Amino acid sequence: MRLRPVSLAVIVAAALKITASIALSADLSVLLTHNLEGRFSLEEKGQDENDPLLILAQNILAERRSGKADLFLDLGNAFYPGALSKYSFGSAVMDYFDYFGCDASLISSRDLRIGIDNLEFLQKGRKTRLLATGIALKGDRLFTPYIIHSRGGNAVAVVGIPSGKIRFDIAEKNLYGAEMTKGAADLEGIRAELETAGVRHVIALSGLAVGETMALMTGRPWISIAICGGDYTGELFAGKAGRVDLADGRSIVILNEKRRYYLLELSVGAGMEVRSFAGRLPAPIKTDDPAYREFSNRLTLWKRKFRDEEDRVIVDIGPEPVLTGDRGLACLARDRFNAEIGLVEHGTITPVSIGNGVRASDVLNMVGQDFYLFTFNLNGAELKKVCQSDGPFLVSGSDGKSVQGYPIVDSRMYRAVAPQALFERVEQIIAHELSYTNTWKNITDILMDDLKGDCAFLADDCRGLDDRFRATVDFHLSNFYDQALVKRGDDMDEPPGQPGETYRRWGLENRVDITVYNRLHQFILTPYMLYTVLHTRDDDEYYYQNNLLRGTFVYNLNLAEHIKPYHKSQCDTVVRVVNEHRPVLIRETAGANFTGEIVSAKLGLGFEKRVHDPVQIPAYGMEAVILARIPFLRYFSYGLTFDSFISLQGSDTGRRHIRSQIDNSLSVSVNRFLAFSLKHRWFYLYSRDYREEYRNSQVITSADLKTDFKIF
Amino acid sequence: MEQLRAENSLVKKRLMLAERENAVLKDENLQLKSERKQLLARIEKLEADIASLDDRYKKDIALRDGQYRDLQLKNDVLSRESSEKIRELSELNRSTESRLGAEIVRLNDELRRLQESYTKEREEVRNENARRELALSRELESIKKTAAERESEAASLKVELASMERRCENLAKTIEDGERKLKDRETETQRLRERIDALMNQAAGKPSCQ
Repeated sequence: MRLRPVSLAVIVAAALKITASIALSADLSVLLTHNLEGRFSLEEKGQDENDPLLILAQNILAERRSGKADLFLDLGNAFYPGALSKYSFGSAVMDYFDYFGCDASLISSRDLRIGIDNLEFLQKGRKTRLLATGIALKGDRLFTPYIIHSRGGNAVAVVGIPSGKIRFDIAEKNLYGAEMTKGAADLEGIRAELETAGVRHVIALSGLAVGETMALMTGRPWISIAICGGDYTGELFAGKAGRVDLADGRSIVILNEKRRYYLLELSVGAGMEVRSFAGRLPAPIKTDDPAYREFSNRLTLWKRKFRDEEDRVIVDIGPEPVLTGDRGLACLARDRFNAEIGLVEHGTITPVSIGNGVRASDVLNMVGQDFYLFTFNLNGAELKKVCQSDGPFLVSGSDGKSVQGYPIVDSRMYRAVAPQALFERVEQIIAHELSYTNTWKNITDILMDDLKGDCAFLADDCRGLDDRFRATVDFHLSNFYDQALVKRGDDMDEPPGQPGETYRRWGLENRVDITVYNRLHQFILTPYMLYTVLHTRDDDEYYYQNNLLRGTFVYNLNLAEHIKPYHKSQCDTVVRVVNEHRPVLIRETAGANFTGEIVSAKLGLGFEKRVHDPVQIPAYGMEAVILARIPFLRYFSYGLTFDSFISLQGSDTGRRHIRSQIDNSLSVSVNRFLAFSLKHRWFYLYSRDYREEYRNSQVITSADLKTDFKIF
Repeated sequence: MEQLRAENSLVKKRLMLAERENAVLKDENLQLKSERKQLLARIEKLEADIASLDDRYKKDIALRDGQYRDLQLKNDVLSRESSEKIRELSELNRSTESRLGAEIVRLNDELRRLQESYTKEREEVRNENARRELALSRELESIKKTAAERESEAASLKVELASMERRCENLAKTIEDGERKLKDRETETQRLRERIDALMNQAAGKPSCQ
């Protein structure tokens, strides 16, 4: 029987179609690893049985031999912080991937600690591709975003989507302009490229959390399946998830345990379906694979070199074991850079018990994240915000309420030190950029230097740092308008520094607080001057008058948060001689200083004595000082100062003196340095010598210039 | 300045990676070179060994061939000699078998004759023993009777002896009582004497009433 040409063509076409449909349906097995962290052991002996990564390699080879690993993909954080990997700058891990046939590895946050330069260098000439979308140098894509694998006539692409935890080294940022571009825009470009390449299925390796991955897949049906791992370890609400299926049937599989490797069986047809997904714990398997032998030999050479260079004893700390931790690092950084606040991310230092000889390899082992340390200044309000943010970091030097034993002052600057990544997080918390100084010393550097020297890192606590003396200088310069209405007895002299008659004047009121303090002691020296140009109503003339020159020296013993013993020496005089007199009044008091958040009060006993023009016998009495400052709205504040001294002169209980001054002020701040204030001052003196009173009431409006300096 | 420091930092990292990787690869290269040398030397040695073994095997094969031929000849001679010997031994076997048959017949006859004479002798000994047994049993009966008579006599003597013993005991008791009474009387006598002595002494010591 002869077939006609048309029938033959139909049969051939049908046969081709059947063949094509068979070819398009296939299984794809994927072997997955994540968070290997360069965890090579440092021992050469028995490494085939003890080195976790070699054991994993034996399992990978076994799975590959049994046909269960068409693709070998790593979800990232493979290079860091293992000591040997750190030492080899990732070369050992890259060789590992190359020898054992890893097709691709997703770049995750800790991988970048190797350096983008080095990662780029390492993948040259090797089969393994480092995948990351969105990482760019001056706008150019740095890493391959995807690889394409051909399976059963289908082209399957693997796309790497890194997490938002990616942080670039400051040097890479400054020099290369390294940046993380928005992944979504990049993904659209990638989609177009994949379509052009004829890719039908896309596997997304995602370092994002499962919620973010779901959001990413929504509206992107071209992503067939997502695999989460690396920076994300499966946390979902209060538990851990292994697999999440979307409503449209697509799946997200999640790698939870970093000690396991995972086998994913996919059915690749019209879509991509998960047939099975399981984690396995690697166990030693004897192998004679030549690739394994070659890599094992190279690894031995790395270990030998590491031991030769890094196994030297830096310091002998004696037999008593010391547990390392983040707090030690924070204290060390504060000590090294003379900072009041030390910020360290949790897990920066792995807790390890060390004793006797501490080796360089111990330091490499314990440092989990190695960034350059930045020093920067935070004001009190920002510091409180950082302390209250409850982020995954440790704050040394402050409990959020006080620094060095004194309450945090919102406007005061505090010096802080933090690794670069945490500094960037602090900027996010306070929502503005901070100026900083890069010390160009990373954590390993300062640990090595410290262990060769003071060993501050191993100290029990860092309270010794609070014993350091620091100094502040605060200037309060006021230009004021003063109108006074004086009423007094005819026979009474005006008290030193107080006006004798009704006047109107312009003047300056200047005060400088020079404070030297540490955790326990506080010394405050306050020169104060009131200088005015006076116009009296009686004679309608202008007088250039020195009003008051006061020096105060206060010592506070900072024993407790709310009650502190103090001693105060105060000397009042005039700048210019008035009526050929230079009266000098001294006051010596000692007592307790009660401090609260808004109000502080001093209650003390002592004496006042006029030591010049004229000399008088001392008057013993009690001092009461109340200071309050209540900020309200945003720029306003109310201030109250009450200063009173009630005394008895000599042994005569009838000769009582009362000296009181109450200042009420309302200020409006223009900025950090300038404020306008309206102040009411009321002075009262009662003398039993004359059985008469002196009262002075002033209303002052002033422009206050306030600035402060801190000597750290 | 910051730019320079940044560059310095990155170059330092890159340099350290390059230096360390280079050092490891150099070590690996040296290791591979030394392994290669060792393997080359081993190959040379093995080749020499193969050549010498070749020679030795050739010589050995020639030697073995000669030995084989000699053994072949020896085998022929020995097989001829063994056939002759087998025939002789077969002859000898046959004559020995006939000689031993005649001897067996003779020995069987002799055995039968000795067995018959032995049976007869045994019968005679048995009869003699029966006769002697009868005589001895009779004698034993008479002796047993005599012994019974003696035994009854001994029993009557024993009874008599017991009564005699009882009488002796009674007599001994009587004697003992007599001795005791005698002793008491002696004591009494002694006491009386002492009293008499005392009275006499008393009498002697008293002055006369006159």
